[in-house]
Amino acid sequence: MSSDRLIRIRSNDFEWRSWRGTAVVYDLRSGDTHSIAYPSGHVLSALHEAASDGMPLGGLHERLACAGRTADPGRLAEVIEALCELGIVEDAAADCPS
Amino acid sequence: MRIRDLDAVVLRQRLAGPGLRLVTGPFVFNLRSRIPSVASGLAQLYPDFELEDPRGFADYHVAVHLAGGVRRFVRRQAIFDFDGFHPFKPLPAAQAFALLEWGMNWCIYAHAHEFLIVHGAVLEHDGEALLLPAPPGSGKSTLAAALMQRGWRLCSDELTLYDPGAAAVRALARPVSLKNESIRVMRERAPDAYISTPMADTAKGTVALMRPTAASVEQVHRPASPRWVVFPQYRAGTETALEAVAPAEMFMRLVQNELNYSTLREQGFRALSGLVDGVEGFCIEYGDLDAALERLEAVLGVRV
Repeated sequence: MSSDRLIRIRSNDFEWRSWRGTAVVYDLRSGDTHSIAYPSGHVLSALHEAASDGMPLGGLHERLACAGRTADPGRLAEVIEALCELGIVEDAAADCPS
Repeated sequence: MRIRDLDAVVLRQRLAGPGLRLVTGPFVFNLRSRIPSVASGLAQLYPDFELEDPRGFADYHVAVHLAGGVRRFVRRQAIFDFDGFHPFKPLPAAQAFALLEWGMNWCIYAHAHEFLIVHGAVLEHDGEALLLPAPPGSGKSTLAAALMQRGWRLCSDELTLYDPGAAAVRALARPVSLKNESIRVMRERAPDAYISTPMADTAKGTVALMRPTAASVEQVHRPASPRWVVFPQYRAGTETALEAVAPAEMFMRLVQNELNYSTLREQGFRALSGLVDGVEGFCIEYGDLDAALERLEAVLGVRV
């Protein structure tokens, strides 16, 4: 996964809450609720602040590391993949594969 | 006026005529029935409940009556009626009172969407509410009944009514539905409490209803602040095990016990998030009721 990849949150289609870095997400279109593992809450917080501009993966990783969140690249990649699969996060340049 | 203030004849006449306006927490039910077991069930299980003026407003107009036709004579059946609509299949007439109880629950969770409603018991101590969300067969009602007997105020056995605007739980204080082995357990633990004659072969097995304490009914209009959510699971022969549940997991486990979260959509999500924000979560697995009660109250820091 390229560190230049620019991703953003699709905040119009989802509501989410995070507790201790674990997120619970509500899909406004389907009515489904998802629980996504740590550090999904931190990822969504960072992407929420970045808003529609999105954030490069590399920057996201650095930001979580600076904030003392888990910086394991493999774990982060898994969480972002899960967020993309659910359509919560998308590429700012092109759609995530679904 | 309370149900105990009516003599048996007047109670039957009210039920057979315009109806009895029963107040249960934020709701008024207009109840009608000519079935004797319904009248006696109300007299025995709801004596401390307030009655509303018969000319006043009722949220729900319900009736339990006997099926007509050949069913008047053979295998008599009871029908639950809600404004002329029959949401359930008829049940044997011997289960008429249980049908009323289940029908009243249905009225609330199918219509009272000003509340987020979760399947679970609620008890209160010192203004703080303990929520016990769980599916049927988990030992929730047994735990709730035992806590009530220890002095906790029973807010509800089946329906948790969370008012998101007030961040508070509203009480119903209706009878506790005991199933199967828990009937014997509670009879032994609380020999002075009124427990109805068991109804066998219901959809939930053998069911008996336990009268709420008078103190629970007297304080039914007092809201409680959610403080703890405990997911109970009875397993015969197991040691008591109590563990913390993280907020996100608690949220998902509450969703599994929801009754109108899906209907409320994003409002339900926000309400449930607010509920989770303010509580500590635990799960308890127990095989011994005394050990479970002791452990639970120790962890919650409650001495009743």
